[in-house]
Amino acid sequence: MAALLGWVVRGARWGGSLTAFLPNSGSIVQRALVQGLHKGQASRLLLLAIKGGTENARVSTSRRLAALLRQEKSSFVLVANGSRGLARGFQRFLFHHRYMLAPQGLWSAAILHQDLERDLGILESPAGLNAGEVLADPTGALLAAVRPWSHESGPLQRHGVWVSRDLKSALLLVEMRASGFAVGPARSAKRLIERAFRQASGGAPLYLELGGTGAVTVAANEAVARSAQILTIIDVLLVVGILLFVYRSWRPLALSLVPLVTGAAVATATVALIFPEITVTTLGFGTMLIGVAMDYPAYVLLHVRPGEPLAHAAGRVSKALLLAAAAMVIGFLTMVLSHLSGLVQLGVFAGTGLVTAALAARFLLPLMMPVGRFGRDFSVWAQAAQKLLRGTRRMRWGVVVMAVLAAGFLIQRGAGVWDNRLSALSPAPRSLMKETGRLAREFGVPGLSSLLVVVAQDHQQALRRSEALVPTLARLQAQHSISAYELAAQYLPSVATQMRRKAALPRQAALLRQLRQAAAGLPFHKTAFRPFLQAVAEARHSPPVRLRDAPAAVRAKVGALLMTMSGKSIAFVHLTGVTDPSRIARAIARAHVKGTHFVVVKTAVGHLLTRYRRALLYRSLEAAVLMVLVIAVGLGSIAQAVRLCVPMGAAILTTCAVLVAWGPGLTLLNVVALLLIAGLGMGYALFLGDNGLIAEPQASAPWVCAATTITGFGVMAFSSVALLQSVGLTVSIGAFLALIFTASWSSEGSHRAQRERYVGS
Amino acid sequence: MARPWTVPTLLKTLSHTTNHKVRFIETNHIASLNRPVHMHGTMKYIPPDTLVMTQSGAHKGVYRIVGDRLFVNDAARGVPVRHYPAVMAIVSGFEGLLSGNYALLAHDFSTRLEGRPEAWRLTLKPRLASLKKALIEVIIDGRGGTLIHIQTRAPNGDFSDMHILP
Repeated sequence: MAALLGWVVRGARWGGSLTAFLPNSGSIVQRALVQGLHKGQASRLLLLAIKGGTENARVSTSRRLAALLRQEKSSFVLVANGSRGLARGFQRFLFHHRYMLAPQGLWSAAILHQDLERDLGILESPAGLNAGEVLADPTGALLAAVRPWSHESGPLQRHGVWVSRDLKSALLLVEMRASGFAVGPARSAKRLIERAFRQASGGAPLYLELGGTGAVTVAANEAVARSAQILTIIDVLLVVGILLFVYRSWRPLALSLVPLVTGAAVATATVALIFPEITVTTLGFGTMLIGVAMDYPAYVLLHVRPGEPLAHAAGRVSKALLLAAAAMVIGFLTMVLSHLSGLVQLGVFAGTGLVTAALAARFLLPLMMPVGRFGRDFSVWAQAAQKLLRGTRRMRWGVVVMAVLAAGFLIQRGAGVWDNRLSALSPAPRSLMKETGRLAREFGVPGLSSLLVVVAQDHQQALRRSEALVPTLARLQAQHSISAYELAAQYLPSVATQMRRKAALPRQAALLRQLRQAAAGLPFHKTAFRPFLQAVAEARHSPPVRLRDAPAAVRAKVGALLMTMSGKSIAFVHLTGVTDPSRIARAIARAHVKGTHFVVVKTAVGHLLTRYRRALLYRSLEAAVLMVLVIAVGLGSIAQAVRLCVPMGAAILTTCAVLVAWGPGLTLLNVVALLLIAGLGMGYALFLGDNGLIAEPQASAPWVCAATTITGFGVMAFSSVALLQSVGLTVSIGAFLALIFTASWSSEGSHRAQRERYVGS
Repeated sequence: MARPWTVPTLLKTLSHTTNHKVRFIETNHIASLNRPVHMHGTMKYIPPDTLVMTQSGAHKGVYRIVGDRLFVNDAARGVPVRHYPAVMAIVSGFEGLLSGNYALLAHDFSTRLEGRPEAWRLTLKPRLASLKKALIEVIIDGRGGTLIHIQTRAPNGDFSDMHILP
């Protein structure tokens, strides 16, 4: 199995997105939010910090690293290690369209006079030589047009490169082409950067810290993969140990592996065929779930009487086996029908794997070992199991009491039952998240804590509506409720605004008059203002700047802030340094701009997850009902089915109560894990009691299976990755309770007769 | 035997000059203005790369150039000198010569030296395209180890005339 795992890990294409946990349904604002998070610029930024060594070493390494990374044009859109001037062509664009791109103040003779005096000061200074072009722009419109592009909130600069506030790191910003949530590109970006850093730093004792969405995604994946690998190995050793202890021989153990390997192979192949990538969730949980497939051969093997052909034993248990497998598959069907891409794949993987394993146990195993020639007689276990069963039966009514207590506890907790933090679902190490947050603040990268989503019929309307918010935003900034805001209209104003600005420019005659008045008493040549007059005349008559005519830099910025979805246009307004969300919400509401939504990301995502979870719960209940029906049909009796399902329900309620009492609450993953327990529990129940399915049932099988499952998932409960830990805990507790509770409700029937038969022989 | 009169030799001569502080009178003819700009003040060179120009009279101001940054009137933040090619001319003309750094001078400018040690003229023409847009040439006249006159001409017609007083 280790070999299989090794091949699978190396060969298959691993990928996966944490946003696989964010469903693609919901209101347009919610969907826009998910898309924006997924594809927005913030998700593509990688934040680099060079630490250690001397300042000179850091600075020169920063320069070399930036130069190296700029060569990787296919991976990176932007590599910045300092605020350079804007590209010449871009400056020309801004200069040429300055009167349309930036808001203009009022032009009166008095104000122009002030501007001209200032310009005169420049011309009369030692720096005045060849500075005549200041007169082409006396009102400083270029400055206003450049302002959105200047990194005013950026990091400190020393020797031409960005440094942290404590001067101990050199900082770089890299923008990837692909989303930082996609593991494949994020991982290759990380490798590229690390290799370039090794080259750039030479032998200097420097080290590189990498933050940002891409880095978090890679770390999360690696954490899960690493944990899964270690846990699988420990799991394998423990389970092998247990089975050896039970079987006292290698042959049954070897046989047990056959259905597992077959199941894993078929599952991987199926997933590889249907999906483009195998996700981390499938890797982390899939192998564990398939460990459950070890139960099926145990069910067959432990029912073999000495000298009996395997085929007979297999035939005896086949109905129960297939019913148990059916119960589990119904559980996984719930996952497949969900909207979460991560779960869908897991459902397909586990479902196909388990069905294959069950069929292999039923049909393949007998082919591999026709006659059960085991060294040991398993009756020893049968007797031990009987003792245990009798013991648990005494607790029968205690189970009901526990269930009622658990239900009461959960009802009293109400909504507090659920853990709504997105971080509970993310396997990324906490230290990395903190580091990323710190770096983001140094860079002044807009946080993702809250933003405005503006919905409109088309792009121009979206731009106009977001522009209408600017006075409110400016006020909020002045009040320090936000430190900065960013919208597409800053980089490319709406056509309406540009036309308004054009119309506000004075006609030639009027401007000439104002200039003459303003220049009175100042030693300017008559011809000195020709470039200015020309520029204004041109601006009055040229068409507005449209996105398709704008330079690449503008298109890139606007592309990140303006998108289309379901035939509507969505504009984002990024907010930085949000200190008072409620005040912002009120101010935005008072602004009465149609289509504006103030979104606090955590809350919005929480709502999404809650909606989703509710849907998943309903579907799980449907699945539960379906399971009961299937069992009832299989057993041919509703009463028997109820006898099986009551303790199962009790086990699930009690597990939930324990988890809620112990930790921060239940998450989506716990719900998934509970589906798994339901399936497992049904399996135990079918094999525990004498319910007429199996001729000469062997009660030991469920106990052995539970032992291996609890060990396997119990090991997972020790993982350092929160989500693996949560699932491991849920399943191990749940499996244990399922076993004990179903045992206590199992029917006694002919067990007594069986015991006597064994004692006698 | 007289030493050949080359730019490096000139620089060496100038670098022996102990008087690093001079007074100047400058007249700037700016195309946009209808009258010339008269300035006077002092210039002080502090090796290796600091130049302080103090202007008195109608246009008071202190302009400090350290390395490649210009600090106007004790400003905390400096502006890169490349934003003001006119300033670069002064820097190269004055500081470049007094620091004796031929390599640096020759890197930014092509040089032509005429005359004799007693009365020489050095013409500097910028090499860099960005500088060429703002400067046509800088002409420096001197006697022996003393600078007498610096003229600067710009492409838009502006030109500057600086006399250095003993």
